Amino acid sequence: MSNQNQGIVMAFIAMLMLRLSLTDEYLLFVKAAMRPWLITAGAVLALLAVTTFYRRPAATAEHGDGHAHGGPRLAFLLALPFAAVFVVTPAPLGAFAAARQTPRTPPPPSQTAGYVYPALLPPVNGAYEMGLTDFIARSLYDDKHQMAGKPIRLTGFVTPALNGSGFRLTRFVISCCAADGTPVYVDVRTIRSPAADTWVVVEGMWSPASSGAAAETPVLTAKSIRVIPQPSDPYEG
Amino acid sequence: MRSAIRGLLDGPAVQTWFTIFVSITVQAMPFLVLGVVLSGAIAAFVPPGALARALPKNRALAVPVAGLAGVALPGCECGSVPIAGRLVARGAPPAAALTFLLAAPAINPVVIVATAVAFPGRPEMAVARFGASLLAAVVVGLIWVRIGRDEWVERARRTTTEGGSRWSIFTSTAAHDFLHAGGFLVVGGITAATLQVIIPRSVLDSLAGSGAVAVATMAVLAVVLAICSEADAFVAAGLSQFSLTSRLVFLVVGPMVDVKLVSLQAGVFGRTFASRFAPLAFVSAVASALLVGWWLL
Repeated sequence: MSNQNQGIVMAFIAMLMLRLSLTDEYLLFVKAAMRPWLITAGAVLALLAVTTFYRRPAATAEHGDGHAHGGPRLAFLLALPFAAVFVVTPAPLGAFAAARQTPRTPPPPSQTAGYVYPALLPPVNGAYEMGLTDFIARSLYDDKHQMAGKPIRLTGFVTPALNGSGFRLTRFVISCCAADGTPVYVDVRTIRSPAADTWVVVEGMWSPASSGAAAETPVLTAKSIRVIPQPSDPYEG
Repeated sequence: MRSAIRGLLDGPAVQTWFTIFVSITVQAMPFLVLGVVLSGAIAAFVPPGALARALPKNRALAVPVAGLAGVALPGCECGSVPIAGRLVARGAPPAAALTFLLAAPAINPVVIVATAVAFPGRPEMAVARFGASLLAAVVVGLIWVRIGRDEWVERARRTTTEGGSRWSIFTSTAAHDFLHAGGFLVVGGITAATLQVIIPRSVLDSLAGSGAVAVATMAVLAVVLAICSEADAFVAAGLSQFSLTSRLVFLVVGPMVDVKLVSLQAGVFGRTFASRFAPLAFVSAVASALLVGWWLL
């Protein structure tokens, strides 16, 4: 591989890193806290790309074992993720991935006995907003049933339910990147289910009675379902 | 034509594959860059032979010292591979460099704190991870002192450094190491994404059962999923249908042997090396995790 080619390969990966991290696209792949590291890595690679491109060819082009100096042919593969972003429309993990995994049950609060959940945040436009993970944890472990009888607003995408009466409002929880994503979901009771992978805001009521101790998936009875564009950060942290 | 290709490529399976592939590559990149920058700094600023002098003369003693030195490299496994390769190129004993390679991604403070956070109320999980990972790395190092041959790490040993100013040594070494590891990282990302899409995780979950089956499943899962060591504790915490000991196996195996990491090691040290080192590290990791899990968990 010539110095020029090495420089070009590194420029591809640097452009990918900078393109993703300087827009909101990186949020489809990794969590928000990674952004400064992606930008730094992109900048360092851009610098290495430039210095490599302009370096004079080394006097000895080959080591004794025939291993080409400066990088094996395989390094061309580094252009692949860059090309892929242009060919495939980037999308977050969705209903297909969710259906292939066992959903995650949020862990109980760390002090098991006598833990009191903080009060719900004040309602916005007439409903209490929270993440799916928070909603599921409260429905399972909040002995005071603070959510009972209150209008709740949840955001997620649609995964078809196993039986007819509604859909699964789903969100992926990631700790670092999409490869470690695990789904959480809430059963939404409604007569009208949007298509799989549609992003929706659901307002409705949770009642403790509707999810007995045996059922780990809480149920929200929908009052309204509004279709929304995919949020810029599709995952919960 | 373009729209036909798009129609094919936008199917949900391909989309999921693509998202996982790009996310593994993108998320590993900052750690790989950190690794090659440190490697460049070693080449530019550490005189040849200084490393060999800094380590204890006795090779069996150098191994645990190198393992403990892993505490000083915060990051995940992608960064430690080029650094270990550079240490070998700079004359460090291979067994010590390899012990460092295995220990650093598993026992550094960032990973241990993440493990403690992922398992609230169970601090023994973080302690067990630290102990079992260090034990596994040292055991591999001591075995390598006895059976390892220099020609197995020939590719790393032969790596020469270009002359010139310190700046030029630094940038050329960092670029060299990046290109050697980078293509293999992409291969590893492709493999992990393919396995994740082909094998539904729910099938693996159904093997949770008891004892040996759960341990074997979690060990294989660690190799197949190729999750970064800073995130794997959160995934393990979510797999609550598995026993604590089998989840410890997952946490000890993952940073030492996974499809992306073996590919990286093949790139830096050569295939002959990777085909011997990965099985040795795998067996040692499982055995250490079982021993420490039986004792502590």
